Amino acid sequence: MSVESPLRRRVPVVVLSFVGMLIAVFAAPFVGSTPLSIANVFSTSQPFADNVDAQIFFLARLPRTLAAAMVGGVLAAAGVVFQGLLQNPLASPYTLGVSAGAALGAMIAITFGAAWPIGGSAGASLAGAGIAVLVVYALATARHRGLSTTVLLLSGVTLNAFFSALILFVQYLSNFADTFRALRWLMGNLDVAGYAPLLAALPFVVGSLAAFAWLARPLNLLSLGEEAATSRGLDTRRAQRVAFFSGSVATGAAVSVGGPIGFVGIIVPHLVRLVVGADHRVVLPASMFFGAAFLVGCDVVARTIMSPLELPVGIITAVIGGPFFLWLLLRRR
Amino acid sequence: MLLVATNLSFSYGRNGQIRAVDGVSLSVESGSVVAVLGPNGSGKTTLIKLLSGALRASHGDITLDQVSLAQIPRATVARRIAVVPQDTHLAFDYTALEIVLMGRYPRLGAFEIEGPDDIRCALDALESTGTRDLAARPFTQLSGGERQRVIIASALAQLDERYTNDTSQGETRPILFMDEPTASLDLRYQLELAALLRRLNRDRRITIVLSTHDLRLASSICTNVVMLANGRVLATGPPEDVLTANLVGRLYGVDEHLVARAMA
Repeated sequence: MSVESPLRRRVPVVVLSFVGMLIAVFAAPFVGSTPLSIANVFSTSQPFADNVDAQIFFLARLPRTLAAAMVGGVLAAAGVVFQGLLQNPLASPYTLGVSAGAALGAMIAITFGAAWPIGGSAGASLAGAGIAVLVVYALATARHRGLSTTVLLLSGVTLNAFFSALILFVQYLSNFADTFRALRWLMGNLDVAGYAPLLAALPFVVGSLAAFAWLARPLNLLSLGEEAATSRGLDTRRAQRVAFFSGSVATGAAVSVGGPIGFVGIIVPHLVRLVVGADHRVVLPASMFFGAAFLVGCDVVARTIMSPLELPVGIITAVIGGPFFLWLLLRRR
Repeated sequence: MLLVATNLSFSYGRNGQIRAVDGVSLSVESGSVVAVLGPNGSGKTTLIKLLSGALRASHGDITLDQVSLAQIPRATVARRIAVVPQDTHLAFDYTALEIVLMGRYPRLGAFEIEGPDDIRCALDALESTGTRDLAARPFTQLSGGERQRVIIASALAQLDERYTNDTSQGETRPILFMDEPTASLDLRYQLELAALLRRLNRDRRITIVLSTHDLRLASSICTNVVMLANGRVLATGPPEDVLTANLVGRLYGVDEHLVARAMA
């Protein structure tokens, strides 16, 4: 009798996606309008101030690549968590209004806080995301002892629409230059200035990833339905709460770095599931690594396809993601 | 007595004015097979959920081996009590084996991965429900009858003590709850299910509590019948005493001559 664990058999896929991420992160900074040589970048013979290759690598392209990896990995993993929480494979990290709240926060900072630096709009987007999360949570728990996923979904979708209206209102009040900046922010862009935004988001990211690691098995049980999960010994309400808040915090942090970059949180988990099946203990880490590699790749395309023009990466993911999503819908029938 | 419910009530809706279960007292003996009968909306499903601990009663108390069910930790309850719902729909493509392995959840630590013993236990459970060949198949592609068997296998893996190192607990006397197990099955699956349940009860000493509309199932495999009408117990006792044309007629609001003809 074969006693091989279906889980262990899939470990190589996780390792492979991890290696893929490492290769992408290392290779991506070498691609761009100015060719770099590895020897020059890591040369110790000339001082950093005179080494143009090293400056481009470490000050411009590496932070951008790391931002892509962080945002891509976090959005893909958060997508898995939200899909598991809502029992809906078509859910995304943005379904519950986190991104709309973040966008509204950023719009307000850009329009009314003329003195705010870039870090300011990131902070404001995080605050906006937090407010959206609390409103949705309050609605979903108001008339329900647990966390009603139906109410969660409906209030998330409604809040998305409401916040979008507020965003338009704020945009209407703002001047030309601010509207332009706001629009750029909404497109999703990884053009980060140095490592500061990454470091600011890091604690949120690390905290929610730790929660994700615990969530993998509870999400498996939740797939059977709330009552079946409870009867197998899971504290369903706690698992749902942890999933909701950690997924939201992760999404908020990712959006504060790169803006609302679309489709990563839905394409990546689906591609991963096609290969490894449904077990969240494999899907979560594999999606995170593959999501990081995927967004790094998309950003390379965004930087180079119309060089020297650098497109916002959100356009690339949307162009790939839209048709993919439709294919997915058709395939499910 | 294994499981004792005393004066159990459950109400829901605004201000809780809808009483699904209203002052039900019953006891489940170890090794018995209990059928809960009643018309649609009589509170069968709610009663099953209350007894299995999925719902908390508004009033009344349930004890498992003289200990209040509400006081027992969730995972401990899950090692003793398993539930097979009417139907299971999945949003994701788990294989049958993965579904059965989820039954091992209350026996593993937070980050523990199923070991060879758990896999063996799961394959065993599939074997005893006749679904060993389906282990690698996606659950969503199975037929209704196959899906139910896999879920029963998952419940068996959940209740199975033989693969646990911890033998300090002694005999644990597991209980399996089933909500309308024959509702969506064709005749062959109905008969096979009855045989399977009888086998589990006899060989594994699993106590079974099921809700059903199937009088034949109730009379063929059950040792005890609880008749539920409007959330209250109408009658209770061994099937040969309770499944009379008169009582069944009163239970469903049908003329007893019609019942007598249907049951003949």
